Amino acid sequence: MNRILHILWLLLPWGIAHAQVPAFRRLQTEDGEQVKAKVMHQDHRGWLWLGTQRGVYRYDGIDYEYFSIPDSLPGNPTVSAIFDRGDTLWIGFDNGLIATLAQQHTFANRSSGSSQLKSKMGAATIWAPEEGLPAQKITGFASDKNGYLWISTYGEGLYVWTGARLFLVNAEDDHLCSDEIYTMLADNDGQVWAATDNGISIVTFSPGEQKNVRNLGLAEGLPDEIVTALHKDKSGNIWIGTNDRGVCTYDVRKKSIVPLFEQWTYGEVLALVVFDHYETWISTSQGGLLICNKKGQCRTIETPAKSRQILRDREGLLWLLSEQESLYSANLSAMNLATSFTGVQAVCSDQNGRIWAGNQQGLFTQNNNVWQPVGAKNNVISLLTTPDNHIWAGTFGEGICIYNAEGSLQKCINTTNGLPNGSILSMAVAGQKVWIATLSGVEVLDLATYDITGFEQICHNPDAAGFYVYKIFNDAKGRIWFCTDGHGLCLWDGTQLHLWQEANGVSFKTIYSITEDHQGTIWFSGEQTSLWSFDGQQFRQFTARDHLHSPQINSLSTTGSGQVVIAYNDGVDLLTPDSKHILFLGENAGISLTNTSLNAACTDPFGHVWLGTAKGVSRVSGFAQTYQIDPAIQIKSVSNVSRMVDFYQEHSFAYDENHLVFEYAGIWLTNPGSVYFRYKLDGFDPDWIVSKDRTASYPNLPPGTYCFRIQASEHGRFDEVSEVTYSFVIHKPFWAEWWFILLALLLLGAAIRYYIKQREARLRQVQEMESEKIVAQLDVLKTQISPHFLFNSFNTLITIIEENPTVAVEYVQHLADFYRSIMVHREKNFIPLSEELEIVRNFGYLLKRRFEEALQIHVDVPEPTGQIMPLALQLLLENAVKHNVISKKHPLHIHIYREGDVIVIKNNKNLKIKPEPGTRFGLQSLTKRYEVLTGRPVEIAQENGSFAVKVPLV
Amino acid sequence: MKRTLLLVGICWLSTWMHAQDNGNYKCQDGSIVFASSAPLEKISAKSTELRGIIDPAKMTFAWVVKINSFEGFNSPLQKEHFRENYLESTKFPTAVFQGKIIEDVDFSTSQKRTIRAKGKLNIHGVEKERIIKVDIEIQGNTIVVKGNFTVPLSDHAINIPKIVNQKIAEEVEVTVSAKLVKSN
Repeated sequence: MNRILHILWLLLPWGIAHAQVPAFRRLQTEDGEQVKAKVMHQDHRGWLWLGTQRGVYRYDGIDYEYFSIPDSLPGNPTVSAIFDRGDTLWIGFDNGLIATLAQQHTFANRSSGSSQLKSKMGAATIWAPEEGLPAQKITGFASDKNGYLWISTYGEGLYVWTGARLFLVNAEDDHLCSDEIYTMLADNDGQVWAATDNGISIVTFSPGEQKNVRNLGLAEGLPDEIVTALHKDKSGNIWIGTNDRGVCTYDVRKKSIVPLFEQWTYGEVLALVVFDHYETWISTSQGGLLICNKKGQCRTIETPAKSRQILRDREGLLWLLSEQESLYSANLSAMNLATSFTGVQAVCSDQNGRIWAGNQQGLFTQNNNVWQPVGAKNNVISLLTTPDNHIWAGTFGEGICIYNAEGSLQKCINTTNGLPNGSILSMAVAGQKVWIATLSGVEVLDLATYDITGFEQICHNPDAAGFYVYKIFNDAKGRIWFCTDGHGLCLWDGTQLHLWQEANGVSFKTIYSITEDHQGTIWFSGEQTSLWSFDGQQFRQFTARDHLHSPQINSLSTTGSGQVVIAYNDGVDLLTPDSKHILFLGENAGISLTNTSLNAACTDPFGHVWLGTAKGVSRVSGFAQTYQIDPAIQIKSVSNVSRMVDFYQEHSFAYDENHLVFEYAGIWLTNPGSVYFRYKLDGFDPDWIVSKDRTASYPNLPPGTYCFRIQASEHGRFDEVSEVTYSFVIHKPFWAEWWFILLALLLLGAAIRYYIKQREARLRQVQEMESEKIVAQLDVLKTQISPHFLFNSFNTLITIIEENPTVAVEYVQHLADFYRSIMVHREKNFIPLSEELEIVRNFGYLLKRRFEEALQIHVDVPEPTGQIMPLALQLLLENAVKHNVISKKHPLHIHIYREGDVIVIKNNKNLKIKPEPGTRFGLQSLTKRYEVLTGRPVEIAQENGSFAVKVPLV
Repeated sequence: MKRTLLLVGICWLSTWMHAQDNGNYKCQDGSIVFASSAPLEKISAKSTELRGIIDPAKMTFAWVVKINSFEGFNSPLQKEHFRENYLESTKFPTAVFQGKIIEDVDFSTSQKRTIRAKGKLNIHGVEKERIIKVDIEIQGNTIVVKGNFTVPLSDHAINIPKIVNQKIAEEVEVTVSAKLVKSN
């Protein structure tokens, strides 16, 4: 009978049913506008670029920023390929044009940053090599190890851009399979693979301009010469999608083609992407989207539309671009398997990776997308896969039913053949022993003999009444762990039983779930106890503080990549043991995984974790660890006083350019809304600022050196996230610079010094003047009171008194007047010219009386206006008399007259043979005083026997 | 070997040009100008003896110019150096560009467009693969070709003595202009 069932089982048609369902989200703007794209590309910074008819959009999960194509583009070209290299985005068009967009220009000319499809960010520029641009559709770009850029066209073959020159590799001259290239990629050896209708060309271009073309065709083992899709996997192998024969791989080490499918009924391969080594997502023309394992077994994935392009992003999201140009994304971290049954209480995977699920209606397994019931309709509450690949189904009250991998019943173990209780809560296999937790205690079954013995250490405990074990778990060291109801965590190390009921002052009595990570750390959880880890020494509790989603944990399991999967009622946490990074996968992350069942969890041979839920079965992907678990942080723009700053180049600002606004993005396409930012302006902020804002503004920064640091985290923890920085300097105003202050101080010092010097000089001059004046006065006094003068005067007087007493009186009067004038005027700097002439007249009178006719004084100043230094003329008159011979034979003629604003006193020269002993101080002193007081010189003119002194008038 | 190929090419070209056939377009008096703008000296020379042929059926073409037909230069000595020392015109008397037109061009309709030609450029006996972009104007039986491109001297093993290289640019700008007439 079993045999017949088995045969029937095998004969059942393996039809295609809608089975695995990742939740696909269609990309739209906040306004609900649908995003349309012809091509998509994720650059190395994490931006998703969408090519449209109008240009390209840059998407960071929230904003769509538009970069227009140059207006001058002829025709109405559509973007057909996007590629990024370094900081340049290459954009190919369907009419052969190529444009470039430099990343540093992406912030220029921006108008607004809202989630609109209209906000224009900047424009691409047309690439213009000397050789001209292709005239056929650009189908792809690639970069080889020489740094050459390859451009594939549909119709002209391949172009190679060496950075200086463009070369063409085509069918006619270079033996390319065909000039019509569907797609292209560069392998890890730097060879370029071009897919055509006529096979694959593997092309290299050496720096010596040597082309090398090697073709793969039917003869080389290609299943179909029409190659439509290429993909390079993590290990560098090339996956080849064909028109009619499905997918094959090219093993780069063995240099051979490895077929993957013997039969292929899904039509043309439109696109393919490999997740890890074994899971291939293939978009086909007739079978829709397929997910295939490395054995060539495929399941159909229900998708909203047929897709032309598939992309796997840095976070592990799957992106589909439909033929209707709609863009869909799906988080493959977790997906549901459509089932015909509900209320799954237990799941397990056999050694081939086939999933078995049990519920109240019995046991089910899946083969090629179709679920089949297995065995009797028992209430299955626990499942176990034994090393001989048999499935043990633990039931509620009916004992254990054992099936082989084909689903035929092998054996039943129940109360009739040795099991004390027929309700099986959990089973574990360790070596040749199966540990069985029943409602009456723990039993140990020997796989060789099927003998059952009670595990005395637990089941014969005097307190054993109501002592349940929810889960039995054998760890990597072969030890057995028991999650007990009310008695804490038990460990049987083979000789001794250990029991823990509390740690760090927190008690945990009832334990539900347990798992072990790849480092051997035990993770367990229970009723109201949240999550605990135990590394053999230390217990550690994880709570909401550690970003654990909830303390209500339904099951724990470990993926093949070592992540701990914590299942809740509304999603799962993925915990990375090394970093303790916890990522929640719930509805916001595009995951619909609800109502997981208690301890309904298992890990399949591929490393995926399977969870039983109220609706059926869900899968948590086991290779999440190969993807990024943190947002890609990027500075989008820096503005300074509402001017956009080229933040690649510009790092220094003037003192009044001190209002900086930073705009940044944390590209986290899984759940863009969950991104937190943490920023700090070194040199200004004392602490980090955590916020969800996507801009940071710093008005009125004082001069200084700053570094803006920004981090993004998907859940608000910033322990190990990467950081982007922008350093800049705001300079002091020039008047606050040290050199300026120094210069100013120096100048000021110099000015003060100059002033003091000047003042000193002036004072000294004044002093000198004063002393000169005093000396001069003294000199005059000395002269006038000199005994000579008096003697002469008195002699003259004596002669006159006798001859003419009246004249003598007059003489004495003049003498007295003269002395009075000296007394009156000697203190003054200047006196009116008339006064001086009066003195001269008095003095002249005295001299005249003495020298009689020998001295002739001619005063001819009609208008005695102006000022003159006192006794200046008298001094000169006296000098003339003193230095010249005066006799009747040689009379001395002295002329005093005015010449403009000078008074000239001139005499004929008749010098005494023996010069009068004089100091010559008189004239010198006069000259000096004039210079100081008036700045005008006293001129002395000697010519033709005459001597003249010109005294300026003031 | 290369020289032999070149000679064969020229022979082929001349026989082709002299054959009385078949809808080919021929040019007997095109002009070609090269200009070197080095920091110290600008040099330009022109030849009006550019010959060319286009086969519209096969979309192939060939152009040839005698090195010694270039006139101009700044001095007779310079001309002498150009011919004998740099381009070694006794050894390599001609420069040749032959190949195929990349675009599909319908020569029977009058039009003005830009086309690209992929071919082998042979100067100074060194052959280089090049793509050269030219503007063409087809009008009835004539085609007017105009274009310019650069020739790096190093591409063709043209060695300029160190002392002179301030006077000669490393890349030479070449301008061609030719009128081809259909032969019947």
